[in-house]
Amino acid sequence: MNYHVGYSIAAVIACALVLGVSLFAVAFVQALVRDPDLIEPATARDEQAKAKPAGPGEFPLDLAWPYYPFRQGWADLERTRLNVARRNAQVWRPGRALFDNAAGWWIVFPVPLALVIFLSVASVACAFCFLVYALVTVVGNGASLALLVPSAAIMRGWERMRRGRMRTQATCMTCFHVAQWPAYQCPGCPHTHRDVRPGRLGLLIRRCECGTHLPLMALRAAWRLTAVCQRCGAPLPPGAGAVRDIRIPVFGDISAGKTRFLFASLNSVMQTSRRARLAVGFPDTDSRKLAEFGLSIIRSGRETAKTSTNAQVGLTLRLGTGRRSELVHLFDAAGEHFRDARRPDALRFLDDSQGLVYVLDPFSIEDIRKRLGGTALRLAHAAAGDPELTYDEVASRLRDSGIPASNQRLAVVVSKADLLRSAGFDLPTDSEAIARWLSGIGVHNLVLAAGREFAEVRFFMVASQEVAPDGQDDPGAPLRWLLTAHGARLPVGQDSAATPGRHRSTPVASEVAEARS
Amino acid sequence: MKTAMRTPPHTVAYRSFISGITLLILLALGSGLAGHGPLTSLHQLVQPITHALHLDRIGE
Repeated sequence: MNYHVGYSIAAVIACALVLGVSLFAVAFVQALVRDPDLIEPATARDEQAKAKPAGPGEFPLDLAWPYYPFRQGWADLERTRLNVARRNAQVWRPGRALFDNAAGWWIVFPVPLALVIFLSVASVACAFCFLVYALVTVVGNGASLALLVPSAAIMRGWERMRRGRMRTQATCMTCFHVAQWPAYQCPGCPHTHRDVRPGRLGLLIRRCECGTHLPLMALRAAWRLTAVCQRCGAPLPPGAGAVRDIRIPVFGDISAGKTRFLFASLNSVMQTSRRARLAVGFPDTDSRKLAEFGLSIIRSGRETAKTSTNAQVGLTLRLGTGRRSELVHLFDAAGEHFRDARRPDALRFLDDSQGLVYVLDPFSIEDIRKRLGGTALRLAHAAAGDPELTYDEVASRLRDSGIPASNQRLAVVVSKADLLRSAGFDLPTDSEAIARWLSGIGVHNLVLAAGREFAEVRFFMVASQEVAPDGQDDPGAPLRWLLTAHGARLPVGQDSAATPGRHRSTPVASEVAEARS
Repeated sequence: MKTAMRTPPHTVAYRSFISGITLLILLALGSGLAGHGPLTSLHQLVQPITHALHLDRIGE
């Protein structure tokens, strides 16, 4: 080939290559910079909801920017492909318009052929550049996903394991909803993030729709963000969902002494904690005010007022500080609610309890009432109802709700022990002896049923006043037992029931049967 | 209160990284065809064409 011809052909091919690379460059810049297909959080959420609709109890994807390899990388690739195709079509269009009929083609024969070859070389060069970009994207996204997906799975698994081991949950004291982890309020906008586990929105941090960085995993988010209830949006204490969460309702008949027991036991637990230099605090204002009011009554020896049916029914305290602390939720409701415990809303807290305290007023037992005169009963503000009815109502509610009481512990607290002793009764202090004593005075059905229905039952004699120095009648003993049984790191303090063995269903049944005979 | 943001920085970073890698590969291929850089073996593959077009005699 003549080198003059060869150089000309080479120059034309070089021009075609430059045109092809330029076409790709223009399409690429347009796809990634000038007019990108930006996958916004709302779009990603809608797509995810369409592909995998949220099931019962699940929430749609939070409004945060998805991690690039999960979605945006593929959107960029698709937009570049479309742009490359469009640019190629544009450069082929003039030639097609000129030579779209056979006559025109043959009149200037070599020109159309040269043009077709020129454009073909340009298109091949453009397509080759795109293929390189596609290969880089596929390999890059694939490598990122190969790293991210297993890492997210490992981190989720670790967090799930920790959640199970530490029993970390998020309890709302407003609506009593218990979630595995709370939702978190974005500090930069009104959006709530309901699932901060590692995943397609990030591994360690996520970026909210507004651009604010949020830490992922409840363990990290709990101390940096404001936790809110998954159901009602009420604020939760710092650390909710990351520290051990223990819920203990107190139930019993009207005037059984539930509120007094709650504050007396709280007072006792606070004293033993203080002696062991374990910090006890109240993470919210309502709890602090309620505790201050209740503790002031106990410490001053004043009478406890009857709990209103509309009064606040729960308080939260924090045992310890920081990441090693524990959140304890104590629930108390007016006795009227327990007369019809199957009503769904007022006693919602019973459904997610981990341990229960049943306060039994001994002055409501027929046998005791017969032995004492009317004056003593009036002084004791005796509960009027049958103590077994309230227990049955609550037990039925748990059964009807499908709550396995067989996983729970029950502390049966015989209140007003100081009044009983002052009335001349010789009271036992040992759990099993108390059970036998109760069976002997006609409460055998309750003793039998409790032993049969709950995983573990212990019986306590408590007094809110005049607690002996040896811990007899210590009102803190039932609470300490339930808390330590659920993993709370409480110091071993006065505990009148520390000595007795565990009161399991089978031995109790036999012992009560013996006592009755 | 912040307004909704546009392209997040991690998207820009990813795009820059992938674009940079693509550019490097294309440059390596181009310079390799021209007989330079790390992929000079490509130049041997297109040797018959450059020879036919007398391109290998430029500069002689």
